[in-house]
Amino acid sequence: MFITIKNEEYAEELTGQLRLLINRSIENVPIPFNTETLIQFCLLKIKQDKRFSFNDGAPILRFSELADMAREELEWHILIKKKSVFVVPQGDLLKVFHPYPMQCERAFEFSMQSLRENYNRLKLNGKIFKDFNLIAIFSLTN
Amino acid sequence: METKEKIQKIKFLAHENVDVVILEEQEDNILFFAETGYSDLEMLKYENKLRFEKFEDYVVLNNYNLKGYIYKSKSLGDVYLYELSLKGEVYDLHVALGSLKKLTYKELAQALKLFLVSEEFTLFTTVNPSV
Repeated sequence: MFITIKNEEYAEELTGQLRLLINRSIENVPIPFNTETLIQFCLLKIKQDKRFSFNDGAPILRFSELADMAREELEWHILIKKKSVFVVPQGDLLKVFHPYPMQCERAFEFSMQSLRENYNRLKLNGKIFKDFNLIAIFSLTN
Repeated sequence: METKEKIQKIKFLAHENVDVVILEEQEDNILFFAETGYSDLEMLKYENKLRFEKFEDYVVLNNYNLKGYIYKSKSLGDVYLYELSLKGEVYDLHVALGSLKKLTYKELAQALKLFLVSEEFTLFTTVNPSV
């Protein structure tokens, strides 16, 4: 599934506008939410915006990229608002959740600032995480 | 078209809807893989109205299942794609090994070996250690 626009000429500008729309969705998403309900909320907002359509016109974003964008904007939102994330270590990796992962027995509270400063974020673009509260994965070694 | 031009063309595809990574440049062929995102080739065919034709299934090395397709490319002619889907606990990986000519079973095993040492597969096994 693609998010599409009528005129390909405005692709760059409207991709930026789409990111802004997702950013605003994060501000307005009903609480409590997880990344799955956040993505659904973003899709609802995109459907309400007449500049965007689905599989009808020039493609600007794939659905998997929407999930990436929503996770990136959520991470940025957490960073700016100085909110906590919840970290579950797995070998040499740190799985970063927001909000708290209910299915985990033990998750450590961290700030996104310290994670970004001390660890290396793995680039997993285009990947649909099966755990919808998982927003990023960092490695312990830089 | 020269092999060099074909390589440029394949690299250009990376700016389109799928990421393409060259595995090996040979005298008369190019081995590469394309990451097809969250979907398999059938879904990609449907989404992008691509001309894929299914042709054969293969079981290669350590029981990896590969589905064979021919992609009727306008600029590269027939491109052979061998789809591989890997299930992980964190995410699933869908890739297609690509070749500009039909591969023998031995050549396909070699292409798969090259993919299994690629950064993409290493990252997948790091994040999904049970694979």
